[in-house]
Amino acid sequence: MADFKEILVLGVGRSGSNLLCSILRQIDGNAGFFEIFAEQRVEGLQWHAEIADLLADRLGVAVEDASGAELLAQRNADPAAFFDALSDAAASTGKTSVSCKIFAQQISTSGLEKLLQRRNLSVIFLTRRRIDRHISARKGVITRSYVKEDTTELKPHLDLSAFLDRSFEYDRQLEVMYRTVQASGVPHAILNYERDLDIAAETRLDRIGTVLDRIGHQDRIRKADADSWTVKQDQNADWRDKIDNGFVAASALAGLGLLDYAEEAPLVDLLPTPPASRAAEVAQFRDDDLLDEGGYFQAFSRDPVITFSAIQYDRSFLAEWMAGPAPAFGDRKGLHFLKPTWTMETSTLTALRSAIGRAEACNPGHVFVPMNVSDREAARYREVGLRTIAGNPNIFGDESSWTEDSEPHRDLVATDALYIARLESWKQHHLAADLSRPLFVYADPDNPTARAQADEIRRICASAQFANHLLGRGSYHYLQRPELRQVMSLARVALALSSVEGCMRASAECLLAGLPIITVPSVGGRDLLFTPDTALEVDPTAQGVRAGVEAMVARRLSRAEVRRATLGRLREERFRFREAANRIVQAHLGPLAPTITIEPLLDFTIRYTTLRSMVEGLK
Amino acid sequence: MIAFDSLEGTRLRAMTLSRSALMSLWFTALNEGQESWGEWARQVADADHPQDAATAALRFLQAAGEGDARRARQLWAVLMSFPIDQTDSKIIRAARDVGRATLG
Repeated sequence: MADFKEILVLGVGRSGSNLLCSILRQIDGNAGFFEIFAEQRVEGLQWHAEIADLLADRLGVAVEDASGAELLAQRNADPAAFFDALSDAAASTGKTSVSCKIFAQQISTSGLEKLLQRRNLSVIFLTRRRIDRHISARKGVITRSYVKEDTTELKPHLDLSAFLDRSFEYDRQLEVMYRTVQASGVPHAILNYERDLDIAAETRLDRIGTVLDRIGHQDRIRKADADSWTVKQDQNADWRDKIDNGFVAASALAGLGLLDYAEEAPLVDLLPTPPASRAAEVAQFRDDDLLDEGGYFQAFSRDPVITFSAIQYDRSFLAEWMAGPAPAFGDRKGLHFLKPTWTMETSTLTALRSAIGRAEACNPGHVFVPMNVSDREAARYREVGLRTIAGNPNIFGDESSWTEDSEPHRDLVATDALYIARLESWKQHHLAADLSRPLFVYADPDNPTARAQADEIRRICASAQFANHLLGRGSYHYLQRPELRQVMSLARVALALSSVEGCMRASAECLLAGLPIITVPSVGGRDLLFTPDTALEVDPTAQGVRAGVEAMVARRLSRAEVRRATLGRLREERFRFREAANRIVQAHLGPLAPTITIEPLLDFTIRYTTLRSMVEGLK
Repeated sequence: MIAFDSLEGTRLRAMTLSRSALMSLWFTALNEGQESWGEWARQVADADHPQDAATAALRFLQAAGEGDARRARQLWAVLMSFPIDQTDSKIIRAARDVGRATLG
């Protein structure tokens, strides 16, 4: 039983699947079926009397023929259990493999996911040129015959609108199936009717043999002849000759820019991605110490579970904790968005990918979706097989907390440039050295490195103002938001001087407070809300920064103008994120899943809490 | 291609094109210099399929065609992160050929 193989042929009707399935029946030891989920029968069961009897025993039904009502009811009630019984029955008769075909509309995504969990299963996708497939289906409807009739003389009229509607729908169905198979890690390959089947039998044998090898089916196929009962439906090579309006239809398709589309097969432009970690080991214990880790954790929905949490130091504490011997959230499904706190363009992503792979393996029905802030980040994730959506944490800033109307702080002197940044070398404060009285706001420099950085800044820029210590009269003074807004009101521009970091939340907050930005080239995503009017990128030199500040001040932008432009960008980016997030939520959790809205997420990126508090909230 | 604002063009845009159809239309529009169709397809693809290889390929072809070398280099780097040698897609093959000829 361990070596028993199962082959699913997936596709849509009229793609040559009868020919392929009849050829697969010729593999030695294979129990070959056709549409096992056809509406009115289990196609192929009628030729396997012994298997039918065993199937009847296993299902506890009377199987008089392949279309018995009791059998079909059992099959439709639990397709996975039916397939299991069919496969088991075939193995019990001494067969070494089973093959069958399933069309897109005959199985749900969750049903397919269940089948894909079977060991020794492999998948062949079968595709065909869209226009030929559609004409073939039309002819089948007209003649009510799909396998036994040469209809070359029949030339139906092509309804272009119907063709496009059906083709778009089939594209979507096939892509969902393909992505589902791809995500499962099950071996799979694509056969194309025109390229691989509608050719000389000898070449066809080679093509099918190659595909069987690729999906791990070692049994050799000895011939690839069509069964005597399968008749080629149309002898015309050119689809225009198969219908009565070929010239008009081709012209119209060309006019719509869709002639190539019509003459291509689906799935041809989908690229493989690295398989998911299907073989990830299920962890033997759950590391509850991880619950004490702090970070940005937000539970968005309890059932289904939807969370937003941070990637910290290339790790997802949530994913690491979810890897355990039993699902972390019972039988609830889940979707977990991961927000970067630092650019992921420079990460190997190794630890993160591994943690996500284990978490998904241990929690069926749960997926992790990192948010990317750039095309390059998306590409990096893709390289390691992780799906992402575009989403920059700066869209979660709260515009009501950062306004342009605060009075200037009374205890500090007004200045041209403000820089809100930790006293770390990578923040590149030295680029502000040529400015007059630059104003620095920073976190408590409670370590030798930060204190040394402060000394270095004082050395190269004697006029620098250290706001937190000036207001603390020599000691560090933490600025609450209202007071920080007052400090922001002292400046005419804000600086962003690092060349690499995260999305730099302070840059977005300054923009909302009406301060335009002088920035140096950087990675990390802080440019999300920039506009040509409100941000100026300068050379990463002290001279460049000084010239940039002078140029921006000369623009004489009002704070209201800067805030208005920023809010415009914020609305656009939030819309894009919501659309993308809800598409993925609906695709994974179904149409009844909660809708992602921004309001509950506002400011969550600064609400530091423990993983435990979020998990407790999800119980 | 037919006029962007024609009745048929408007009707086509009202249909929900599949990903493949949208990419194919965009490719045709680029080849034929149909700016309105190309811009419309780009906007829909950016919104609905931002991480698709074909989107990256078409954005690259557009940037290369417009002579935007900086953008083309960026998009070529993105495209190279896909296994672009494992495809029969004429769109991706076209982008691959242009990229290798111009950027190596």
